[in-house]
Amino acid sequence: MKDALVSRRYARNILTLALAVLGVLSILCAFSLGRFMVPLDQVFRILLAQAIPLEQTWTDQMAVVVLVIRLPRVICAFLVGCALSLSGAVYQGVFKNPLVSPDLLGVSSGACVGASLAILAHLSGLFIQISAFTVGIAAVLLSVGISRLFKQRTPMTLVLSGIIVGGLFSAILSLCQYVANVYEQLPAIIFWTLGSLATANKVDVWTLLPIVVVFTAILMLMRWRLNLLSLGNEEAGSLGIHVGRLRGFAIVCSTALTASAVCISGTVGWIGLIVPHLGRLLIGSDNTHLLPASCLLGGTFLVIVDTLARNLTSSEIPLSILTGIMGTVLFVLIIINRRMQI
Amino acid sequence: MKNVKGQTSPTLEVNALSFSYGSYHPVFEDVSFSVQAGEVLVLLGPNGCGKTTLLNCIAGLLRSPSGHIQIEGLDSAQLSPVQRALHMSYLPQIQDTSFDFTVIDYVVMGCAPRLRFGRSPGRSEYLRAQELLERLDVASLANTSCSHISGGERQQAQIARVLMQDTALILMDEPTNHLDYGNQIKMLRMIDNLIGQGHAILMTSHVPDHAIMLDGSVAIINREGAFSSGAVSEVLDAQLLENLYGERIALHWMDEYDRSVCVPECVCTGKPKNPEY
Repeated sequence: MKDALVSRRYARNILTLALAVLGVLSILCAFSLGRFMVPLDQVFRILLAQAIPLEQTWTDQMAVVVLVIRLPRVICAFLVGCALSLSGAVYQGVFKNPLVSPDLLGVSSGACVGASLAILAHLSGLFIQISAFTVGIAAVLLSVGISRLFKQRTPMTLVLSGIIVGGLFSAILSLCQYVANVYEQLPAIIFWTLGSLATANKVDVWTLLPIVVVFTAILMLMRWRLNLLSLGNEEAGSLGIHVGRLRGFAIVCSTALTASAVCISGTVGWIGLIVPHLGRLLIGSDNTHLLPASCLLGGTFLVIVDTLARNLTSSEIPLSILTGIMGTVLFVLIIINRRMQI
Repeated sequence: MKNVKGQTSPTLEVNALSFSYGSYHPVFEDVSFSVQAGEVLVLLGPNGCGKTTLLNCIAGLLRSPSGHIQIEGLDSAQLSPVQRALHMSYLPQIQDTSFDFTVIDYVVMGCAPRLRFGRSPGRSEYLRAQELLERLDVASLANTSCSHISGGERQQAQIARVLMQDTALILMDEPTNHLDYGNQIKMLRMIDNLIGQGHAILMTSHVPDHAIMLDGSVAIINREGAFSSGAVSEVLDAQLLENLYGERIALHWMDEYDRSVCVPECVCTGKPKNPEY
């Protein structure tokens, strides 16, 4: 029996390791694939040459494509996927609801409005990001504020307020689209709301990286404790857990993750909902293993999706279209698999 | 809890405890009782009389009840939730969790108060949880999902979780709820074992027989919120049960079992008892 216990732990560690390897492979492939193909072995050498001196076997053009064009974009894809999936997994645990995604409290619809307003005001890329982040956070604060009006404070009232605020901000978004210039602004708004990493650059990497690292680290530290939130409030409280404080802290961390991811990539749907479920299917509900797995899976998933978005057709396909299609297929597969288990 | 009678304080001592939700009239008033190590107190009362509220108050989950609660001689109001969790564990009524944790993952949650923030339970905690499941004869369930086990097995898992927390005082809210008859008796036996190991137990129940079988103290909250307590043999009688539950209930002494049993006096024949009625 104890052997079974140990082997279960080993199995999950090996699975996590396998996901990490898969993530690295997908990143290397993403460096290689594109309109300008770079052979995989050259990708490897170009990257290695950054650390140790190597004899140059690649053309300068290859190095530019890999290091200047693809590197920031691929890293951003991994970080955004990681952030969205991790916060999705945390949200689902915190709200004890498997149908919840990280935009539950209105962060995505808020960010859309922020970005649209900036586009309407003819502001540049950086200001679009700042505006998206600010309004996204403001939407969440509004949700929390409205939930305080309810007499009883339960996760359910927060869900309700999130839906209300989400409705409000999609109305404002529609208004923005209605008044936008049809030839320049409207396509820009729609393109933004469908999500894309086409403009990702070095600055994006350096703004996103610290935020993702810090909040992921905090959530990783509290990941086992998040399990306790799925107990009843009384039982969790009797285990010495300050339920409200832990829940609030988890929401703050994952909202910050979502907001910063969304302001880089635009809204990317489905990832935050699907990937945690995929993780649960692979590795179980225990957040100790689920959160790292969700991170790796989400990062890998978005790197693959973004590579497809670049390569499938001659022009870029918005990310949400691909995640929507792939997400539905994955979801159906998950449901079929669940049915076979029961 | 090594309790030498007369030298250490009782595991749980409640003094003049009152509580009300908001400005409504109090749920209960001036409640005082104590539970020693190796003793059980069964709390009886009709639906909605405040049994669960009283447990939640003692567990420190409700704000500002007036009165004093001492756990192992410590003032409960001065304790942080984590400190309290080292002295007292709580089994609320069975609730469904939305995600299916395996039984062993659930049991290991009992070590939460002993783990610092940022730590996860490791090999030794899991081995201890496995050991507890073995002790309760449910080791085979360790890797089964909590949503795939029966109510009785769920209750055993909860007991293992409480043992994992390893506290002197254990509160249980209707531990026999939702269990079939055999599992109710099994549950009482488990509670009896816990008492034998020196734990102090405060539990609620809807079945007076459970109090009689555990043969400890009994406390009663009636419909008006009035509280009384004492030894089972002294407090429980037919009159009190009738007042409490609004039905005629007889207490019969059974020589061969050396205890009483409760017998409701209603006879259900399906025919009207009063022809002209």
